[in-house]
Amino acid sequence: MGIFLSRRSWTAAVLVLAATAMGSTVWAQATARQETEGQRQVLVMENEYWKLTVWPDLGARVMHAVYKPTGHDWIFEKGGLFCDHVTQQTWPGELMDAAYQTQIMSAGPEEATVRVWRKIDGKGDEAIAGVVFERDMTLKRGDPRLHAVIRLKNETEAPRAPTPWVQNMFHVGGGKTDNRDFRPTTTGIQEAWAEYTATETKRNGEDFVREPTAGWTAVANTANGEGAVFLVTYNDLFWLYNCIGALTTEWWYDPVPLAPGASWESPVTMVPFEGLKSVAYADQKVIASLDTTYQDQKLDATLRLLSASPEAMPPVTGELTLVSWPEQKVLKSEKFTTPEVGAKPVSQTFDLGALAKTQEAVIRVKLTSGQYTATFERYFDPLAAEKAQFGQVTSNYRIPKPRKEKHFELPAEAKVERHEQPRVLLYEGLHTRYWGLDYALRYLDVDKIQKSHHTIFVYGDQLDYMVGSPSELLQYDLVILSNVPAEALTDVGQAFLKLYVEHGGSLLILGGNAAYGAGSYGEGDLSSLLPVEVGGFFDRVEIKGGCALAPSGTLGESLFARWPRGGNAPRVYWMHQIAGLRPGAQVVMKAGDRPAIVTNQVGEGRVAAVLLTPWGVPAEGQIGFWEYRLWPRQLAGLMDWLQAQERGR
Amino acid sequence: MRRVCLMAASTGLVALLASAVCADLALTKVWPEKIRYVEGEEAVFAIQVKNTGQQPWQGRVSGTIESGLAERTPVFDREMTLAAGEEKTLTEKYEVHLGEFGHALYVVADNGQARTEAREVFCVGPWYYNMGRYLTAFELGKFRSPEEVQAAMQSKWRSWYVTCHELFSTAPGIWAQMTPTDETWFSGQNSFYESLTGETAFIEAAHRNGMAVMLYDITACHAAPAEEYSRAHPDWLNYNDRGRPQGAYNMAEMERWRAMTLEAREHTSPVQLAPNVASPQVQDAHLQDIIACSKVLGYDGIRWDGQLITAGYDVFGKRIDTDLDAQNAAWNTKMRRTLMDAIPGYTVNYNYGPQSQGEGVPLPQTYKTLGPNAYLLWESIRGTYKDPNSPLNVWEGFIEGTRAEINDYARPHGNFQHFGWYGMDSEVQQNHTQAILYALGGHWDTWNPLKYDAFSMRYGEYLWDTHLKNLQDGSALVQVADPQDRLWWQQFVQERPRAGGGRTIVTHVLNKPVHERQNEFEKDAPPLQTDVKVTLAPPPGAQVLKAYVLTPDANRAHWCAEVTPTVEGGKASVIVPSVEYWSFVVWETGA
Repeated sequence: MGIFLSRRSWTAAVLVLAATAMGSTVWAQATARQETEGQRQVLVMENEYWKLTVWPDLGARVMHAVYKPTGHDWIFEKGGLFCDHVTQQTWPGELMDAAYQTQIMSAGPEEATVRVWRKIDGKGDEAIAGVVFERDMTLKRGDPRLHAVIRLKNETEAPRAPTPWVQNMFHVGGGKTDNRDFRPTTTGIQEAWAEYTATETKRNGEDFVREPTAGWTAVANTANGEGAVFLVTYNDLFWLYNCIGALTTEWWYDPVPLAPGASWESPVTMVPFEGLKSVAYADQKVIASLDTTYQDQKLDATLRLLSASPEAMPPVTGELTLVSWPEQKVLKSEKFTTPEVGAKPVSQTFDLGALAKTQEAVIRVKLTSGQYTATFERYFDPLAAEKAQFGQVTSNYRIPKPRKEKHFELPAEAKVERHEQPRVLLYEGLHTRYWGLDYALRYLDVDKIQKSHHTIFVYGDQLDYMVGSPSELLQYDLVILSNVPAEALTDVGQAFLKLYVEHGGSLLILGGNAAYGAGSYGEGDLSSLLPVEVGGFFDRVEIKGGCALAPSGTLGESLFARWPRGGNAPRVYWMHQIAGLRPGAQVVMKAGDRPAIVTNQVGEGRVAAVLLTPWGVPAEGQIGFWEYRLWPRQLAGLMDWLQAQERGR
Repeated sequence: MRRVCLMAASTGLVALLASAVCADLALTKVWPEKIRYVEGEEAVFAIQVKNTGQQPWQGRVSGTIESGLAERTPVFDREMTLAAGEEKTLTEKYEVHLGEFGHALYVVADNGQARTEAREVFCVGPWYYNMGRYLTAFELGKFRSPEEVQAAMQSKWRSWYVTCHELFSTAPGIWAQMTPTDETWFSGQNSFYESLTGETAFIEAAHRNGMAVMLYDITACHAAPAEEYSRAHPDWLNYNDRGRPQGAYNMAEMERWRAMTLEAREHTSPVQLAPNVASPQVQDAHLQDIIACSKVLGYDGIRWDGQLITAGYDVFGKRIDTDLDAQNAAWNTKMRRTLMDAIPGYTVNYNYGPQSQGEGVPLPQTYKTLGPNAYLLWESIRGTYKDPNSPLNVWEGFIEGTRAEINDYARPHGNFQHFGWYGMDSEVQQNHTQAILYALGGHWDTWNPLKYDAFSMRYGEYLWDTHLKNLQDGSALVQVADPQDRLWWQQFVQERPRAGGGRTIVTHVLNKPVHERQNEFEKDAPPLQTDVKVTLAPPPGAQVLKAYVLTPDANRAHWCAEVTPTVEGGKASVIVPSVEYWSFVVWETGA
């Protein structure tokens, strides 16, 4: 069993640091007040750990953040903590430098809370216009953490779906050098840092973390161990980001569907720390680092733990295990018990024994303290440095991305509203215009087509319209997903869609280069609605010379009764290759032996998966199905069938 | 008393009109009809003389072409009589047999009592983007005829000494569709309003002025043509590792783009998809599109804004990048050969990530396939020079970076390095930037007139000739007395062999900026440096035959002066009277 070394208890540290930093205990209480800084009215929040200055006229950013235990102001010129954005607007967006309204909600002495807010103009963007972006920031007596709440309020009469984004521009440890970012991802803890010389800035690592696996992101000064962890709600988290070299720590949230009058909020906790030069794990209780040394083919690992809250944690028991990768055989395992875990790290070095240079490995840590448990791990490749030198991909190490739990419910009796003139929600992606939907929907005599346009750009996939609630989606007779990826729908949109279909909704899915495999339809709630097993990312198949489409099965013969038969029938040239049909699937059209249109029943609703794409150039004398003059009518028939069950047909 | 009017430093006709006027006699126009001529071409010079006095005037009007440092070629000498208030035009023709680079038409009107003179710069040679400014234009749908274009553009073209124009982003779908099929269209990138009539008129007007016009092209399919391109040929796109097309699109913008009118226009680029440039089919289709477009509209060449084969996957998930350098070298070779074979005289030019800065993929093989005589644009410099973390933000680093790119990558392959597109508010910084880039042998593409436009065209032979070699350390050959450390010169010593033996050595002397870093709002001009002693130690067996001091900051009558060096201990010295921003000495050495 290892022996942990504890330098100082949390309580003792607080008293010593407060006394050192201030020379008195006058700021042991938390305060919030208005002050003047030059010509500017500012808000100052203060306790024994922090003096924070908020500039209301500049996005209500925290423009000075003096960490009293070290005396370092973490904010550099033109930086700031809590720069508000929405990803519908490219940086800097309208909020960053805008004047905010402010209110001191609590002036102390136990808690000091400042609220800041601004209504987004949005310049006509239906996803964000009129949404109020609000932020509460709280300092508490005896607590080094900065507690914030990000809040969005839809004060309009239409649904909105803003995608909030928080940016922090700061450095730790007294300057920009030696700052290093740590982010939990599906490929392990990803580090990013910049090296500054007089003549260049060398950037190391990736800016974007598109697959975070936990709700934290950290920066540590590798020279003096000062740092900060931002704890955010994983369930709300979309991406993590650091602009390497520009010293930013940022995260983007999932889109927030807001029905008229609705609001959403998500807490953020910034935990400062000292004594860690890396971060391998963080939650509301514990911050941990797990560093390795490898010399003469012997591996040591040093585990450091500190408390993420003002309260010291009782002694932690745990186990550190070395397993081989990818075989995952246990190579060594050691149990340990720590002393009480406080503000200063307790640490232990584990001798993990010999490890061959060619043996990749994973170090796993399990922590237990009363009801509290945590597990985390670190991948280790002895040849990583050597491989990186030759530009090789170093590993296939990958951990699953934890599934988010987006809980939305509808009453069991909730049903899709059917209208004499149908209402249609069209998720419109690339190539939608080739499907003849305009004409098809005319056949249906639709009352309203609500479009949600797909955008893919530097901030990923987005839609410009999302319904604010599952019940709102029930107002649509038909939803068409036209070459829009699951990533654009997000977990929220997929959850809504699942509820919609289960409660009698009608879903038509069209193929394309952002659909099915490439659209990640095989994952998430959308997958559960499909009548087919989706192939890989490159699931498309080219049919040289095309293949005539033919109705299939009783339902197909009925739906496409007027479809031309034989070799002169309209053709498909490119389509999706599926991995298989799901139970209950009905193939209603085929291209040779390949399923081309497949339907199924999900709950009370119906789904049609069109595996065709309107791609290719028909040879002379041939006709692509999308060019066939009666195609819109055939498509309208399929749409009608999708809704027919609820209409008693 | 004999009155002499000298034309002051002028950057074109407007300034010329204002400055070449005596009390009673004026040269109101000294005008080579083209900014650039080619060997053997018949040049037409228009000269207007006006008698602004109250008495008749009779005298001689003579024209000379000034070339090189001291060459003079008489062109015409006419008797002229002007009634009071009368203005007359001489139209003189001259078959051009002049050396490459810049010249000046120097005209004198003189009757022994009053004398007025003026000069205008032009150039001679085949490589239009190596002898003057390179500009860009778009939104040409408004033009109806070459005359309209000329009326709108000529003043700028001539006063900025423009030899090459690019039409930026005018194609309907860029990579997806270069050749227009309608009379009018909105370009896929940025939604410029373009027309067949307007573009052909523009190109014709530019040609009449002796300029060339480049077709801009970028490796991205745009707007509605991109949708059709990607639909008809999904196998012509480059995909990411998740099977999605590389690029960006915004379907809301696309919908608005399709319905857009001139009155309600958004400057958007609603679809930008990356083609699979590694595919021979894609290459062939696009080259044929460029050829068709160039023939229809009359382009002289193309300026690629990134034509690289880039990493990615084909439609079925197979990697398209095997050896990017070798692939790109082969693609460049094919591209040049195909385009130049199809259209005689066609040129192929590039925008590349600067190799000296490690930007993008290292492309040593590819660089060997560029040119010769190609325009190479380093565009990212416009962002990096402002970045406080970039070495280019510090003037010394800026010199080293741009110098390395010219010396190591552009000139060794006979190409012309351009820097751009960027400008700044500070005239001080602008002058420094232009002086540094031009003294190193580079060009600067920006949107405003620059101080040294006319000078650099006139003396381009000593700036832009790719035979000039920038010495690694000029101090081995030259010394400049600079006790206050106010001058740059070691990095700016160039040389080339002289016809008939010996060498031409150019020693640029630049007055350092007041501040170490670049500042686009710089207000502090450097203090004038005077009487700077420049000393040359001629190579063994050689001596200084002639020496000239060139002063780009002076007015054009005093740009160049021959000086007699003092020789001491085998070393020749001259005094440069003043360095405001930039002066240089040209030494001609021989046995």
